[in-house]
Amino acid sequence: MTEPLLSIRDLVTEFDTPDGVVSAVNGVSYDVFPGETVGVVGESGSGKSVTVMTVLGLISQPPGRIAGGEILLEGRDLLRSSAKEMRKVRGDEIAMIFQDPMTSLNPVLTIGDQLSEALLVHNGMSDSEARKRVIELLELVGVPNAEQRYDQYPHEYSGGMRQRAMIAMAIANQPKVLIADEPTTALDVTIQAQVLEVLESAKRETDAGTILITHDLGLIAEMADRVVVMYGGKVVEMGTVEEIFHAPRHPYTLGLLSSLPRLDVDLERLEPIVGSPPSLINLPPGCAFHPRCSLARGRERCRREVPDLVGVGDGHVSACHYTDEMAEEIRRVERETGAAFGAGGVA
Amino acid sequence: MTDDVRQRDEARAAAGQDVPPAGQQVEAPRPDEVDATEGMAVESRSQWQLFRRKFVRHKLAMGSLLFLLLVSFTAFNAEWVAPYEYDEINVVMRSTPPTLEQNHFFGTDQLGRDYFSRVLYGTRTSLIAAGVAGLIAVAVGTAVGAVAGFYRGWIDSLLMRLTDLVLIVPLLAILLVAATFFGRGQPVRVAVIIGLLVWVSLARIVRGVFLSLREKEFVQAARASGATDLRIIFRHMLPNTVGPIVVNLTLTLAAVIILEATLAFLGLGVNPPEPALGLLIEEGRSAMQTQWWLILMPGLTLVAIALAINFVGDGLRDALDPTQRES
Amino acid sequence: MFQYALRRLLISIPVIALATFIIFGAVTITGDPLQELRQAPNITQEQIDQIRESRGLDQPFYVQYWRWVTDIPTEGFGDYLISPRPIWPDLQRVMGNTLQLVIAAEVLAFVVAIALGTISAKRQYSVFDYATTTISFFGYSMPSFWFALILQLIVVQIFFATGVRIFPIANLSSADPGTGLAFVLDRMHHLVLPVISLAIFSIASYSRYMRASMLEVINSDYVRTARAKGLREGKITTRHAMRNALIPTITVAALSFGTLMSGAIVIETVFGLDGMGRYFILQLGRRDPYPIMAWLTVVAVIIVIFNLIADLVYGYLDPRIRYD
Repeated sequence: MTEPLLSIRDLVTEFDTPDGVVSAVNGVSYDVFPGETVGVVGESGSGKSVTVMTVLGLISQPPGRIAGGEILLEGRDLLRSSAKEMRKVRGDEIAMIFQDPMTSLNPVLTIGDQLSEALLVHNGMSDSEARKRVIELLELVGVPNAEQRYDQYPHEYSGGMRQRAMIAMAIANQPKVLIADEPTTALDVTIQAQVLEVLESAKRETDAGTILITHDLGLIAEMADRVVVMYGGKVVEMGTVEEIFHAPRHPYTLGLLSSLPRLDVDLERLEPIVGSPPSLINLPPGCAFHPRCSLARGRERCRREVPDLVGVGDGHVSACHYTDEMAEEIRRVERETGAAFGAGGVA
Repeated sequence: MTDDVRQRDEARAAAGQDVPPAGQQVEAPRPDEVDATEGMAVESRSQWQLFRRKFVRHKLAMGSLLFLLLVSFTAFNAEWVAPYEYDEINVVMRSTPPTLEQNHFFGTDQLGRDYFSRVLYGTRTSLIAAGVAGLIAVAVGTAVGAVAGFYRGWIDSLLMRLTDLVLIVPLLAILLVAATFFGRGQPVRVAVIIGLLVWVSLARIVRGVFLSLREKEFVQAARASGATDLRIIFRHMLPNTVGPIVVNLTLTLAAVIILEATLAFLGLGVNPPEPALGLLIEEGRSAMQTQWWLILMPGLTLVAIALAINFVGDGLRDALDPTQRES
Repeated sequence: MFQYALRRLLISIPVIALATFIIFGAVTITGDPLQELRQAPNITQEQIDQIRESRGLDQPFYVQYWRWVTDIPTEGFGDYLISPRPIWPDLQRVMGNTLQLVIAAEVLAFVVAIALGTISAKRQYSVFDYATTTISFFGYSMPSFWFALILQLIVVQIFFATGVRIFPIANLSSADPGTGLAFVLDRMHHLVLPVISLAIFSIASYSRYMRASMLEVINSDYVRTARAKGLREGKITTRHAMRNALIPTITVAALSFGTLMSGAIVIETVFGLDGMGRYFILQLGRRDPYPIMAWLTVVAVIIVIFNLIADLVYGYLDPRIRYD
């Protein structure tokens, strides 16, 4: 088995707020292997973004605090690295594409300046070399007339073009790990597909291990090799994309899947997850998901005991006390909604 | 120091931190709005309480408010509080630095007049001037701002042009011209002139709030149910503008106190021998090299009052700001 | 960029025209300009009538205005009411002096305020932050003439104690200022206290805006992007954050130029500087409307010019404005 490129181990990230301490990330572990794409799904507040922000060292402290765990990049613990070393990692070995291209680019600097900055800071290119390389990158991500567009400002770019520029910026230094946080959410539906294509080719170009954060399961199905499902600051299920989509072993994953509108399902019978995401200050005791869980049915153990992540197959793990009841639960949902999980529901 | 009120707001708006956001007040009609539904009345009372609690907890603002009350009370009862008449001459004690002896807390001037008493009377003059100017500014500013924001049209354009104009001519210069020709050295006349010149910033703020309020559902609803313009303005919109007006009034008051002192210092406020803080400083100037207290004491009094008013304003702004947490 | 500048320039022409009209109207309605003369004992009724006729004071208001305003380009601002001396040379002299004072104060205020505001925002809720907040409250609450007097007092006390005059407390130059560099240094030495006194309010005000806009900017997405690129913190602050945060602060500084001119009236009086402010007070004492109108017009033009400069800087900093 190959060594993981990036390994997040028992990460705990907390925030001090006027209402108390928020454990945004509470013992999260997952690996990213070279060349693979790990999809991370979960509702907002599940800790999926905070985890990667911690990886990049972008949590402002205070109010944030990294209370435990380690983040190993090729064996080296980033949490023990100095600020200076972290600066060298950011944008060079690990690069990130942010959600909103409208606000993530500096409005007063040209696109070219902002892109070449990443090159200049990490590999001491001359200005003219950097300019040449940036124009290549812009062409690579499909920005037309890259030569002229180099000197334009973000407001002269459309949303899709800006996100292309963001992708170009992220891959400028051939990063080992590429993190994309909701890369298409802020974009027009018609643009999303194009940007995804660019992202795919960028990934191929760099062969980076990729973390794709999204709440869009469709995107996961299309892009990811493995899936990490997060809930209330914890990983609740992890497995290959096939396992997660065809044989989910956690009721939350099943809930996500059955709330997903699909071509083969009658929309009226979609089964949304009842209730709202948990308050991170006051996490429910026991399994954080139990108040919304269709499997808990008020059982004592769900309210008392925090479930551990346990193996339910080759590399497939789930944090549920009653994973063995999942097969029955899946059949129930299939009966009620007309969806088909086992028979390969998702393309 | 003169156009500061307006500029502070201009810039606050420019810096994206609009003076007390209208949003909160919109959802919080004042408690005396009886014709609101039962539920709204309950909610409004709790909003009002929330505001009061937040303000009371603002220690600096509460302390400043108490200080101002104390100073006002003392100044307005100067006849009883002051150890001496403001023009009482005592040659024996002339040019005495601050001392507890014979109650010359602020010292005496070359004629032996007690400076503590003079500062007390001077404070009264300054407070009256600030009050008159503040009242006029609020009355005119609110009226013009409300009409401009409610009816738009020519009065709105006029208001905006006027504010543009105020931007290119220094307010103090206009004030000096007006005070020279109309002031006649009478503090109240000067205060009226100040009030008639500083209302513009308040009008702009009221206009802004009105512009946003007129699009709100409850105003639309009142209009749809056939309420007259006057009723809409007085019962629905003005109560929701009170917050911004009060905060701006405090800023205006602090500015006006300084402005009045500046005019007095330049010899265009009040005529001697009636004391005013600015005038006392001007008088003390000639002897300041040896009698430092003559400029220090009235000046410190002035700064303390202006500072306290600004702190109160700050506390009000925080208490009215829904994004500010109780802490 | 050139088009943008030109457009801004064209917009300011009607503003100045309107300003001259209002100034003339306001000063004219404030009273009979000849009132002072009537009370003067050694002036006869004929002389007054003659002045009235030569000034066109018997004409309707709009004729008077037109005459006044059209004479500005050719005759400067004409003569003083009483003495047949032209106004413009006096105004020109004091204008130069005041501009030195005001521009120095604006520059000082801007530089100090940007530094204070930036550091306060970067260290929000630190001791430094609280200290600057408190100081700026004092700056808002302190009459500048009093602050100037206190500075003078301190300098005088130091002189009494040590025999050293660290700064002059009056006048623009020494009795024998020398020439060339010596003159410039002497002038700067004389301007230290006035400039500080004048700048203090602006420092208080601008630093608040700088802090507020800096706080907004350092929490923005694009600063996070810059950080994710691995830029040095200093570079993030100067290149990405400050430039954006400066935009609203520049607006404030431009709008505050009138305040600085107001402040100059006071400060020049305190320090006895031969500038526009003292000139204004002097003419006000003589109740001569012509130099007063001239003064107001010149100040309006100066403020418009400075707003124009601010607009250009604004356009330079914010490309979104430039290409509108």
